[in-house]
Amino acid sequence: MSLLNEQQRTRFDHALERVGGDEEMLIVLARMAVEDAPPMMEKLEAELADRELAAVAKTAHAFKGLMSTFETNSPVEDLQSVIDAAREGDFKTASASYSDIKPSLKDLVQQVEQLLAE
Amino acid sequence: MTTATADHAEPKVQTVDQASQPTGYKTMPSVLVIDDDRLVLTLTQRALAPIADIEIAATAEEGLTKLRRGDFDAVLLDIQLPDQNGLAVYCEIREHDRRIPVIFMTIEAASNTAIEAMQLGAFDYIAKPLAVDPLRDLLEKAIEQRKISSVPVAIAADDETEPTSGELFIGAAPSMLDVFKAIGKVAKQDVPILVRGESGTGKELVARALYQYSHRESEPFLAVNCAALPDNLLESELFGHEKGSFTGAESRRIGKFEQCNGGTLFLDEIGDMAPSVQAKVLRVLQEQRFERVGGNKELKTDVRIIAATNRPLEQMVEDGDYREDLLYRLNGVTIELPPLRDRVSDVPALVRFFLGQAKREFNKPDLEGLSPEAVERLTAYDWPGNVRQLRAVIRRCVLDSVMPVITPDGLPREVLGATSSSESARLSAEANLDSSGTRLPDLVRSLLQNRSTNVYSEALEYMEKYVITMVLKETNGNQSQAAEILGITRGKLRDRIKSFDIVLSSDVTVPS
Repeated sequence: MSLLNEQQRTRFDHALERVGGDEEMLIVLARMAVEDAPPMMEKLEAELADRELAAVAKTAHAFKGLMSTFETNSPVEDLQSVIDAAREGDFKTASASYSDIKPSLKDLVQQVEQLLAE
Repeated sequence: MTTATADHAEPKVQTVDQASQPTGYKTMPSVLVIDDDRLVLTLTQRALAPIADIEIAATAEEGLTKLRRGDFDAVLLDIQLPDQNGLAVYCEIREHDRRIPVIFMTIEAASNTAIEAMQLGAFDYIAKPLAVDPLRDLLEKAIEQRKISSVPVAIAADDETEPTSGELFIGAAPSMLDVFKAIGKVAKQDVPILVRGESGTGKELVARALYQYSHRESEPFLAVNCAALPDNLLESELFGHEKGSFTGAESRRIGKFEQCNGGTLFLDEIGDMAPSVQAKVLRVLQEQRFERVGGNKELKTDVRIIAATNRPLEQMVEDGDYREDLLYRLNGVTIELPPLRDRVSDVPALVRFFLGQAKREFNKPDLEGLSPEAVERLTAYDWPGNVRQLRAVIRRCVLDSVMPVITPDGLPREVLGATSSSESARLSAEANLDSSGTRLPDLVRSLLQNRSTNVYSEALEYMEKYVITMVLKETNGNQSQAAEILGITRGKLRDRIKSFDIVLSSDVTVPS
């Protein structure tokens, strides 16, 4: 029996393909991502506020890895510009890039959360 | 935020005590996954469960502790860990057990770190997000590699008994012992010597050995490949020319016979010489005298000639393409080099020598050697390119190897047998039949894919066949005209027509 509805399967078709079509596994991973993503975003924002760019690069890298399980294009791929700017010590670009993609990242987390609703 | 640890990951993982303690008996291969992302830990654990026991660690410290206690067949390692750089962890893993294949995982697949890891000898790297099927395939490969790398090596890469005289003196086959004896007998006699043998058998090495053991060892040794130059240039190369003797001769040039006075001149591919050059070489052999091209002044030289060929000179004499008197002058003493297929008992010793050489040259200190199966395959192959081909194969294997032991998987397909190189053979055969000359890119691509070590000569052969066929078509099969247009001797053209099976009908073709 399918654990996801048609819309969810279409939205996360690539993610599902990567886990070998195992819907149960995708839901397990979604549960973890939904738990981990909000505190990770908070941590990233706090590090940006403190201008701790080395920490920003690390957290953004980890966040990118976490969310890439579900989406490999924008906004996850856009996190690379935050990582690159932070590594180069460019606070302004890192901060602006994150502000630009933050709403889309929140949307993505919500979409992943929807996987748990069924 | 939830930190990934072995205890937090889902589903529940085995504890160190259950899984990591060496028991001396394993039913499944075991894999250690080190990553701080608990999604990765969970995914790998579930995805790889059918093929291996999975142990997980969320930090470098935890991973290394488990590694030291356990007995793992492969490690999946994140490049960026919270407490240590993945590369540093990799080095510690290598220090603990350099046979464990390590696969790096990275979200930044093109990162410098990943490239650096591969340079350091990582088994492979895989991009995140992980996909189950490729991950499983890669892990299976790594586990298999671990298995075969753990067998004792049949040929060790550290050869302490490496002879200083190079590869020529490796081997104990009776035919090679005859070669060594002949070198010893004639090296100090100031007579011309003809070295015969197939391409790649080491004719130049014999020439060098004859020189090194001669009275002329402190004088120059020069080598000229007679097949590499058009006839007029070869004449100028050997005898020199005067200013203005031909178009482009802007100044006087000293030839090799003059330059090498007192020394030894090695004339390779002596069968590929135009009659005019043959006559001049004969005169040097008889009288030690010659003139520069375009010059009148007779010059005297004292040069010992060592010549080499793989052409049937006697047949060429019969066909009128080679001077009989030159042949008799040259082959007063002949040294015959056997093809490698006739002295297969020497293959292991040669492999050991080339392996040691390549290990040092390519800086592969962890390379231990070749597995017994790999040696078996190398010994079973018939080596059409002889020792030169064997050397190229071993160098390629060493260059490509990331594990301490080279197994049959690391050998070129041509060595593994006809079935594995069927695609290459098919393309070669098709290329042979092709008269358009457009298949060269396909042929080269296929040879590279099949890890051929004969790309140069296969590509050259294709080109040569095409050019000769086209020119013969242009001259309606007239060989004298074709030889002139091509800028090669009639003898050489006849030789190529024969070896390429070119049919000289009204429509010149290369038959199937």
